[in-house]
Amino acid sequence: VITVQWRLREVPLAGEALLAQGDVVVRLVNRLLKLDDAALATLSGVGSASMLFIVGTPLVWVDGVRMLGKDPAAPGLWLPTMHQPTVPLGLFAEAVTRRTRAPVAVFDEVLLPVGGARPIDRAILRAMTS
Amino acid sequence: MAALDELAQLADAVDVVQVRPALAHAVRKLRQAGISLTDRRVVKLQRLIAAAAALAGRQVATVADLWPIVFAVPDAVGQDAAREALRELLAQSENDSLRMAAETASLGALARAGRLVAAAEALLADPKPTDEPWRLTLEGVAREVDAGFAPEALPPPLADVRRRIVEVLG
Repeated sequence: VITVQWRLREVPLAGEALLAQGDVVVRLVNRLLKLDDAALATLSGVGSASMLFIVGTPLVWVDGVRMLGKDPAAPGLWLPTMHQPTVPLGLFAEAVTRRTRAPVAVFDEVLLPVGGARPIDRAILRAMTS
Repeated sequence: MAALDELAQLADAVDVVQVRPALAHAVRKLRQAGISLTDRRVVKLQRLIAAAAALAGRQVATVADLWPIVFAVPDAVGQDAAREALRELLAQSENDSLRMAAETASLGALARAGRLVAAAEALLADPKPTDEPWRLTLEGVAREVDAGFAPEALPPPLADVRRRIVEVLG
């Protein structure tokens, strides 16, 4: 068994996706609902009322979201921008994607498959806030 | 670049005289640990200490601004040894968050923080929270802050602008 821990990166990744958990999801959904249709159409997402992953340009932001980015050494993973695993990233990516189909958002001890990200539907967002 | 120029100008105005005895003490501690810094490096280090003070909003450098000394040591192994040798001295820092930032990030964080503070200040100087392009631009700054700095390691000026961004964006 190899224990994987996270350590700070010397140079952070560019934040190209974000993830909301818990109460932050509602704030993020409310922010997304304020976008016009054209802006909303540039974003994709996957998740639930307890965890929501959003990617696209331009991204929005609310306090509490986690920023994720991609490392060229692990293109199938969305990783915390500030942290990297203590094991070689290539091996880590291989181990993760062997268990979960890429792309996968990885943070803390959670693996969230995000290959199912779809264009964001305003009706679904509204349903998440009701 | 404007933000860097501004930071450089602020650093020029910082008084490092008071911190020189502590710096000399730190250099001696490093020497005792087998780590030598050339006079040239020590001179350059004073400039970094001034920049650290400027970034922390101080006009007079204090022991809290000594953290760049670790980065004056040329290689990673030496830097680890320097952290160990200076643990007690760096622990006296009154500004834990900045010290942590220094210990965990590269000096590039200084320039990044300065640029983000300047970008945020420019936007916050003329707040238009109902204007979507303005809002998205400010959110972009906030994303970059969150992507580039651990919350516990935010330099104080950046923590301040982030707090104001949260207030303005609601």
